[in-house]
Amino acid sequence: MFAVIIGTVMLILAVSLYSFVGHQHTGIQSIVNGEIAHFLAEAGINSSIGSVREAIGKVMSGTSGNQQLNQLLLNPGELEDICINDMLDASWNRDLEEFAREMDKDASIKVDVWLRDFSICETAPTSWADPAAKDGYLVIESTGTFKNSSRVILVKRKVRVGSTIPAWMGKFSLFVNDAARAGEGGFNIIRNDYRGMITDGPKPLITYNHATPDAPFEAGNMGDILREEAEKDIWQRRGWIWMGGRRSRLNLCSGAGDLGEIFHFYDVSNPNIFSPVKFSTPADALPDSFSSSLSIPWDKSSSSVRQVSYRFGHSFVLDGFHDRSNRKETDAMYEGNILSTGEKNAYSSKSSILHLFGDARKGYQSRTRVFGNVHIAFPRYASLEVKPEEPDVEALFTSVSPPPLYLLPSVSENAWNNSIMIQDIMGRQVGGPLLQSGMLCDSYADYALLMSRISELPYAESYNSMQDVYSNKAGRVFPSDAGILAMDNGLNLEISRDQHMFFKGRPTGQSLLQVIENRTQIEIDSINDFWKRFLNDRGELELNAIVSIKNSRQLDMQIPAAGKPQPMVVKGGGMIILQQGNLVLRGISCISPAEALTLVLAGTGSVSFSSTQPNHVNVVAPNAELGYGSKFDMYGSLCVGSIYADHRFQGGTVRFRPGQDPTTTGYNRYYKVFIDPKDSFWNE
Amino acid sequence: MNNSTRRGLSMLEIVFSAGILALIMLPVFMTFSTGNRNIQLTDAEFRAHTAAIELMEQIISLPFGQIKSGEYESDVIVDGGQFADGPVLFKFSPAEDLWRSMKVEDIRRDGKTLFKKVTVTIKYVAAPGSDRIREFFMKTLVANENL
Amino acid sequence: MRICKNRQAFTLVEILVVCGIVSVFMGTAIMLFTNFRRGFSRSEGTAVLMQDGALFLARLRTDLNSAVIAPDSSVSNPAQLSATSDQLSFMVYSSREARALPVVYRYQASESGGSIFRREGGDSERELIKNRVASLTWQTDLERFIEPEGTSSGTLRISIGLDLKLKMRSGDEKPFALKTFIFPARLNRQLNSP
Repeated sequence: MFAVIIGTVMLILAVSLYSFVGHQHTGIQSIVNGEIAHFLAEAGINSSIGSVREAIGKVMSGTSGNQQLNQLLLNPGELEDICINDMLDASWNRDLEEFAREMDKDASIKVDVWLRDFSICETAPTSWADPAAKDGYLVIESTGTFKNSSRVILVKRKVRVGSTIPAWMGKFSLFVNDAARAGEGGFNIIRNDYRGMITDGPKPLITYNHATPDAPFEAGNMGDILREEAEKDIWQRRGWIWMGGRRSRLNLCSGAGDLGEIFHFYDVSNPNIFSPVKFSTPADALPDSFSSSLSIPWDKSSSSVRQVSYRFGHSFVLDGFHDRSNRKETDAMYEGNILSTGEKNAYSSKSSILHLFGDARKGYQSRTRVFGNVHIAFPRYASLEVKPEEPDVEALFTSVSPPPLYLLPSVSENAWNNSIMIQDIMGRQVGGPLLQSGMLCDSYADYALLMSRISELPYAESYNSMQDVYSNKAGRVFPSDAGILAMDNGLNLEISRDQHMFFKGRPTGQSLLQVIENRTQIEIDSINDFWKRFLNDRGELELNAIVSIKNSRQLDMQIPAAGKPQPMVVKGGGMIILQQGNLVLRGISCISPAEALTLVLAGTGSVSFSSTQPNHVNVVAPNAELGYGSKFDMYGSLCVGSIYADHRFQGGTVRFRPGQDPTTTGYNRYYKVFIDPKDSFWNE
Repeated sequence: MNNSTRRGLSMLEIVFSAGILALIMLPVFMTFSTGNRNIQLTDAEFRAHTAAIELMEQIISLPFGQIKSGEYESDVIVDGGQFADGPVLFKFSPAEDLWRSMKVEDIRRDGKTLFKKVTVTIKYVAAPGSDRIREFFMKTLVANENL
Repeated sequence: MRICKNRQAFTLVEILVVCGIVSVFMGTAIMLFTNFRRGFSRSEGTAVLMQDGALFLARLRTDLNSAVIAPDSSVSNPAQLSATSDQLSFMVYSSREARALPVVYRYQASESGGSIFRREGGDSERELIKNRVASLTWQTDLERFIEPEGTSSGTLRISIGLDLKLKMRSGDEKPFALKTFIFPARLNRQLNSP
């Protein structure tokens, strides 16, 4: 028993030593086999890397690429590890097997190409959740096997899939971070006449938030546009506008032509018969003095003194700002002192350089959702409806041409007294009343409700008024009682398509820059290096990637570069992120609607246009200023920190591209798949 | 077993136990002695392997054009000696009782040399003082990266 | 064969025979046992040292086979790979992280047996060999071989010479000595590529 125990113990010891030694014996062997397997794997990768690279290059080249591979990468959702040898026509493995056998029957080499470790990289709806954006690796694996040992050598290339549309900015036509930088009325610098004609000085920047009939591609169809205009919720399909920062006020431009904005209130489909709409104030909104006739001396007191019975009503007409009529040199809207000098000082007579809802032509009116603390201002000319109740006076009164017009002048509280004369605008004696303010209103409060003045309305609510116009609503009231949109400071925006929520929250320039920077696929040092790498010899841009340019010398980036043909043709779109410096655009054109170029300026600086050539481009520069330059045409989305407006501002147009809208499937065309052309192995 | 109530052990039982003990211990001790020999053997093997890898690595890390085909015997494969007639010299750490030889062959397709097959053979003494020579070889492929 | 005798005692002969057999067995057993014990500890010691040495060499070789010259330094200055008396450091391409990381081997000498540590990138040090290193030297060597009438700048070859002695702390066994040169293939290829 004892012996058995001792024997067993020693047996165990012996067996362990023997197996240890034996293991070591085989351990050494497998170390050597492992080394050989490693050398085989190296031989595999060295000999086939050329053909593998070629096969990958062929698959990713041009716009066709390999359908299967593209589909795989652009598919929304996660991508599992997958071997893509079949997509690449992996002929090299046959040869490698042969060579390995030639060396030794227990040797084998094979080289596989895999897509590994992919993960969705944009997942947070608070910044931007893109369903298809992903990062991962293309891995070339060479496996050498000798006897029972295997070694794998990996050669990795980074793969990134990112959208070249700048996140939620794809839903906006215009985004101004700090709109009121030059003060509340800082944009109001245009001198136009009554018809909206502008002859000198600054010109407006007009945003078209839908596809206009003259867009070079994705042109809107006139019939569709007109039909859609009447839809209550058309704003959901339009490019939105963001006017951030403190309160700003845009003076509405009068006129019904291609620069006028009076269509906010009136149907301007036929400018030739354009006439302002008169809003009649209902009797129950008027003071008591309006509810019954008043007996007042008439104004023809030079011939005879007579008390005539008059009945009064009240109405008003809305108009835009105009600095001068085509007959007068002075500020025509303040002519006749209907609007007060106090208002003239506060509002001036100039209209705004920003025309946010397009222009008055059919098919070009472009109302949308406007975010921010922004208001429109417009004069309200209130007039007294005078009806003499005695037939002879009435006959005299109505025979006058032009008809008598009793505008109620704007008066400040200090200046009010009850003996202010209210008379015909032309000061004629037409058989009307010798009217004083006190006869109609007991107090300033009553008068203030009736008088002419410059009104303000949250810009968002002018959407509702336009709805009344489009739907030919009978019995319109002002402001409109259609409560479709209200002033919105954009605290909680939602952008989604089908079941996927792209964005929810408040859009800020900083977080947008962050999302875009995270998509960077290639980093370049200088602007020169950029052109050298991506401009082909025909002067076309073949980008197909998201590139960040350091530009530490803070040079201006002119696109196209000086001396290159204008406009620059974009053959393969993408995104260019300029870290510092300024952007100067001189004309950019995309060859197809499936291409888009986005220019991002990350730092402070300026964005300006130095040519009137059209630009098919999105500009994201939330810290930069839009400077003056030439009149420009932009097809895309514009995001700037502020707009510098002075007498040199030449304006232009920004036209939203509905094809880029994330809420449509068109957004899916703008992903770029980037496979790093450098392998990890060579580390060149 | 034994259902006797005796308190002592019979001789037979002692003999049996001793026999079982011997039976068990014999292979145990034999294992140890062979184990001992194995360790000594592994040491020499290890050195032979290390020398083989040293030679193989220095040949493989040369640019493809410098890997000259041919058969090389132990008289030319010495530290500081010329490899083929090329400028490249061998570099070895000192190792006793071992002899290196090498063969480099081309693997061609369509007139181009795609690979070189390198076979390294090491002859070594099994244990210090013994006169048994053992042989060990290693081979691998080197690819032409210039194609 | 059953002895069914009923005797209660042993004969003298039987006892003598048994004692003789037992003593023979026991003697052999003791002799072999002591031999074994000595041999075992010696074998174990040598085996362990060799195992340590072999594993260390294999690990170093694997690391050096992935060594690269990181792209932002000049090719002609392989000082990226550097060896001092107590440290060997070089850049290794890590497939896992898809970038070059520094790998540092550190030798800590000591009277009773030094230790070797390895650190990769930003990770903490791991101990490879503990208190068993009698001596360790490593040095890098860069050779240039030029064709006698050649016009090119010749062939560069970088190698790391390793001289390692391991011993057990309770030392009556032979120390384990290892001397070899390591030629990192990828590094050499990078040096010689145009």
